[in-house]
Amino acid sequence: MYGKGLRPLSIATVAMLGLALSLVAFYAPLDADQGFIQKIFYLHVPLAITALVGFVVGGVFAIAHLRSGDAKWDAYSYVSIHMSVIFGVAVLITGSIWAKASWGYWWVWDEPTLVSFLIVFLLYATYYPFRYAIEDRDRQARYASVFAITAGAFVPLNFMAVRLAQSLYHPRVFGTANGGLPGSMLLTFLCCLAAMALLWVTLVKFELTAKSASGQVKRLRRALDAPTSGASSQIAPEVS
Amino acid sequence: MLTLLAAAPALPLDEAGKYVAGAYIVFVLLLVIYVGIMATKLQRIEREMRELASFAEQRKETERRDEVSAR
Repeated sequence: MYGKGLRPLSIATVAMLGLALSLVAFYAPLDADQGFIQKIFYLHVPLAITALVGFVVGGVFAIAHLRSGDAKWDAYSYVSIHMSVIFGVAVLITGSIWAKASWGYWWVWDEPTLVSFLIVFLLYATYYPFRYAIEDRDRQARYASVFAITAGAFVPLNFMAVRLAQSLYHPRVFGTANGGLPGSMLLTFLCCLAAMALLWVTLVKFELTAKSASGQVKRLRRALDAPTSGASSQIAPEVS
Repeated sequence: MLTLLAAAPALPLDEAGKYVAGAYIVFVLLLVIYVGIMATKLQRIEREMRELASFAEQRKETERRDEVSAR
């Protein structure tokens, strides 16, 4: 029953997104240094934090899968990583737009924060071909879990390494050197972060519910001995 | 170049607006694409369910006819 509680969760997500975007538009003051462009950060940074935490969560689910052998945890891990990759695409695009507006360049190769995120993103982009190169379902799930744990452990290490790198020009949202964010900006940022986290959880639940429904249809088809439909997907882990 | 980037001045509001709008439009667009993909998946599941329902009904009908002819 993956769809349980999906409706209130969806309503809460829409309400939170509405509140967060209203705060960005009408409440958060203009940044003295960056001006209006800083409004992109209320989208870009929460997306990045949610994507990175999502990758780690995928690793935690993978540990649960290896410990219990329950295919349910493999599906959770797969969907978490899948959703974080989608969030990662949004992070890269919104970050590039901000870079173009602020620095005049779409991408800067000697900036550790940008390059490290790209490395993490590309690492997880290899998860799909790696996973589907293995035909046997059990082996596929086990190897994918090992990948998710290894890559998930790499994410916080990478994050700490970048923080220690003392980048010169990628702004630090929670930097303490210049006093950090003022109250109104911090409140807006936290609302945006909560909205993105809720959106991630809701979309993960949606994806799991769709996979579960698809799995139930396959089970029904097998039970009825019905001919297989050519349209059914074989690439994602089955959820029963 | 690093110093130059660090000291880049803020864009005026009319110029910055298109970048901010662009970033938020990208986010909404990605959400819409995702919802579109989910809608396609749901349509496929619904079609498969319909196929299975008609298959089950046909089988039941055949069984009923076989029962009648056996009597």
